[in-house]
Parts: sequence; structure tokens; C-alpha cells
Amino acid sequence: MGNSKLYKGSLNTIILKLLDENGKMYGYEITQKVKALSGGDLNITEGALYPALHKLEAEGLLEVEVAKVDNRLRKYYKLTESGEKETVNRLAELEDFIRSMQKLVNPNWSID
Amino acid sequence: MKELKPEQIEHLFAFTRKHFVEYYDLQLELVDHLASGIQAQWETDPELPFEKALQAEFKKFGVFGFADVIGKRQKAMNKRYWGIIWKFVREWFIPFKLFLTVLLFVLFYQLLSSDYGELFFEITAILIVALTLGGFFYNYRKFKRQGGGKRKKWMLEEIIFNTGGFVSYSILPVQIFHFLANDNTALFANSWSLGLASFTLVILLLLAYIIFLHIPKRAEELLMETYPEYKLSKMM
Repeated sequence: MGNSKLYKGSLNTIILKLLDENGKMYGYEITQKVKALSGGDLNITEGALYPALHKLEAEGLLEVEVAKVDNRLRKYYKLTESGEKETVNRLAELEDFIRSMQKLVNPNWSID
Repeated sequence: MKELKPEQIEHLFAFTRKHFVEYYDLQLELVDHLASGIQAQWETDPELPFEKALQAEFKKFGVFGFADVIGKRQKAMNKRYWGIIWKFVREWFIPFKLFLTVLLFVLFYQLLSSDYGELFFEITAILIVALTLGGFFYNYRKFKRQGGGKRKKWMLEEIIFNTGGFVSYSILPVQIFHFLANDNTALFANSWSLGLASFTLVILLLLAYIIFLHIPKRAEELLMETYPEYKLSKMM
């Protein structure tokens, strides 16, 4: 279930939502957060996370900040202004999609 | 919390290089990821050997290791590079520069509609190829002289000095010319084909200027804009 295509299609939206809630986050932190929130159901792999982050960054939805942590550099991702707007749009799209799917899967039959 | 020692961080950099991660910007991110994962494992099992913890963390990237991350990063960075080109193309649309561009377009249009139009088109198209080849080798040598390839590698820097593979696009007008020249009808018989040919030449010249001169000149500035770690890594 964790690797289903349904989840993969929503990965970008999930990342945007997490960053919207938490401000700035780094890659490892995002994977752990997604795993914790989904109770392990949504096992977002490292191989899928970074390409998604880099794509969102290239699209101008995320920006990067770097800080020295312990004895290494760490890249933090945060939403840009257009990223904040896009998060609202994509969440609305996702909610619409969920509503439509619920109607399809569980139609409310009536004889009226 | 148990932290990684500097030599273990160095080992992680070597590990990413061994797994074909050439670019420092990506190495940096993956090293932090692996290090965070190893430290998390040490929280539950402080006695776990470093190498064993590293292998467990690397396994999470799947059977292809870092390959997918590298490939998609390249794709995302190319997209970003074209975004930079587009930004500079847009800057060109201010009155004075736009006037120059329109003037050039009119000049090409007039020359192409003359009796020697086809010859002029072919010569210009070949000149563009020669210019782009020259521009490519000039930038490549400049990159090597600056120590490119030997010091830390940055993906965007390499794309900038490899001039984004533009040389292959610059051959397009020559190919179009030879494709159309097989036809017996005159190449620039109407104002549409004349306009299109003039427009193509102007756009190619503008792109060549941006890609071969404008962007490489601003490479340092663009790298700092793209990679906040660029400045920091120079100080470390």
C-alpha cells in the first residue's frame, strides 16, 4: 500500500503542506515526518523525496537556506511566496479529488 | 546525542563520490541525510558500528542507489538553467533593446528578400554555427582555466560553461535550409517564410549572446543565487 501510485501522485502536495505547517525543514526531517504522520502506511523513499524537492525548487515553489549543523552543512527547504499560493491551490485540488473519488466509490443511491 | 566525527563526514563524502555523485551541491545534501540517519540509529543503538549504520541508511535509497536522485536533479537543474535564459530574454524587451531587435529583424527581412536571400540565409546560418562552436570552446577553456572539474563541482556551473548543449540547436537553421532547399520552389516565396526565417535568425543570435556571453559572465552571481551553500562552502 505504501508505495502505491495514488500516494506518489500526491507527494508534492504532501511536501508543500508539511512545509506550510512547519516553516523550514530538511530532507531527512521530511521523510521522518511523513512516515510518522502516516503511521508507516506512506513509506516515502529517499529516492523519491529528493527529486520531488529539487523539482519544486526548480519550479520556484521552494527556496533553500543553508546552516552549519554539527560539523556539516544542512540544506533547509521553505516555501516561496508563489509556493504558498500554490499550496493552497493544490490542497484545494486534492480535496476536490478526494470528494469526487468518495462519490464514485460510495455513490449515494436514491430513488427520488 | 552521539555525533559523527569529522573523518566520518569525510568518509560520507567519499562514499557519495564512490556512488557516482559528482556534484558538491548534491553530495552535501546526501551526506547530511546519511549522517542524520546514522545518528538516529545511534539513538536507539549507540554501539552500532558506523559502517553498518551507513549501509542500512543507503539501502533506503532503493536498488538504484543515488542514480535516480542524480538523474532527476540534472533534469531539474536544466529546467532552472532555461528559466535563467528566459529571464534574460525577457530583460531584452525594454524599449531600447527591443528597438535594436526589431531593427535586426527588419535588416534580415530585407536581406533575405533580395536576390541573394537564400545565399545570405545559408551564410548567416553557418556563421551562427561557427560562432556557437567558438563560444562553446571559449567557455570550456575558461572553465578549465578556472580549475573547473578539479575542485568542487557544481551542477549549474557545469551547465553554464557547457553552454547548455546549445551548439546542437544552432545547427537547426542549416538543417531546415537543406531540407527545404530540396524543393524546387523558391525558399522565401512569401512574406510568411521570410518573416519566419528572419525571426529564427534573430532569436538564435539573441540566445547565443545570452548563453555564450551574458550568462557565463554572471556565473558567480548566479551560483550564489542558486546555491546558498556556495559561499559557505568557500569559507569552510
